[in-house]
Amino acid sequence: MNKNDLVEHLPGLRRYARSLLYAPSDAEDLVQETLLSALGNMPLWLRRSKHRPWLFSIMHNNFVNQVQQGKTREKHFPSLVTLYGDPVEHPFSDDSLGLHRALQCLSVDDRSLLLLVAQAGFSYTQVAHILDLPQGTVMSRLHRARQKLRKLLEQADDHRYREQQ
Amino acid sequence: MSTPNNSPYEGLPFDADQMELWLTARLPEPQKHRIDDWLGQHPQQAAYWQALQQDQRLLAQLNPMHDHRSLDDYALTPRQTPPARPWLRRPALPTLAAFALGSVCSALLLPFWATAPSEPASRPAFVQNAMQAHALYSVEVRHPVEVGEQEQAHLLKWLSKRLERPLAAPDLSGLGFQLLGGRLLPATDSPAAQLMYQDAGGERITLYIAAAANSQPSSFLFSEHQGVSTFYWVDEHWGYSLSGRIDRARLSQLSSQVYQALVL
Repeated sequence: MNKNDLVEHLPGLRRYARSLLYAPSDAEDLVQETLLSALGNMPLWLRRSKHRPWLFSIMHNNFVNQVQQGKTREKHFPSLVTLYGDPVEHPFSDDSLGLHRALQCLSVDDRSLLLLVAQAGFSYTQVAHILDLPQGTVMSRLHRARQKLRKLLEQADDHRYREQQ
Repeated sequence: MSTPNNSPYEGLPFDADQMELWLTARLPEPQKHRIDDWLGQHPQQAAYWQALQQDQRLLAQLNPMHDHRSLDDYALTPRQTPPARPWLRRPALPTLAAFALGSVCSALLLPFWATAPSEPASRPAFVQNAMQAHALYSVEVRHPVEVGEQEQAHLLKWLSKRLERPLAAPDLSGLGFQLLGGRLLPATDSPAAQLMYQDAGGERITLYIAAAANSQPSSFLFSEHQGVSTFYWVDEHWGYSLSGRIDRARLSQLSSQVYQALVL
């Protein structure tokens, strides 16, 4: 594996980082850190199909470190209205904004899990490797994470609906 | 309401793993059809699972990258002197990102609409000034400060008067840093103050305080430029920035201490 192999994975890594973190600047910091770690630890020989999971696991480790060290603006939204913003001021707030914010209300693990499966499209086995979890745990945690996310979005929808009355 | 009060699996003839595979469309066709058919006949359960399916779809579509970046846009040789966050030089950001930028985490502490969407995640002006002042004065051997710590009372009275706010020098001795002294600096609208501390190893950190009337209150933010790290925050229209060439964890600890000491 060499530096040029990173190129094709850059859009995917950026997208994952952008969804994991709220502030785009934090996301780009994470991408930069990830690229640096990858370059610094690049295996001479890695099967092509393993490049992508390897890079995502590096990003995941960097992400966890950043959060633990308080380097990111890791904050939960204090009230659900902030999931969409004020409907009067921001009538066009779309679902994806609400979803992006709702994700930030989930734990670091739940967020990674959902995004790796639902957005990055990894197999459950790959996700288990990336997150260093037993595969059985991945499935059960996933469903719990989906439930939590659903609850958040529902509450936010209720709130939005009430505000618009 | 689509979340059933009881378990979403109650009465469901499929297990959690199957439903997960169904959600991500990874089931073989016959099994998928069996679940679709069953849900078709059980609208109550179907509402919940379809809502999860919709979430799955939205997650899959979340944050498409409209702006292209190449490896060259990242500082990948940082152990020398990297350009600071080269990606910040790019003005164009996709709509959603721009919108999100406008409401970075200060928004999390405030009602969303109370934050101006104009201040992006780039460093406010006072932080640039603080980092420049740090770089300039912390390396001074003979004149690192204008007024030394032995005249602390005078120093603080003077700075308080020029800044038109009470100013104390936070005690950082518990974390190994002693006050060296301080100086008055020109800033955008009004003067700024710089207090310098030094530890036993000779490492220096500077605390920079300037009026930041137009900045939104924020929690601790971190920035790094040419080896100088800084934590900065805005509180009651004052911008604070603690800079040094020390590791982030230590600087963060010092920043919390400073923050607590300087709350107005």
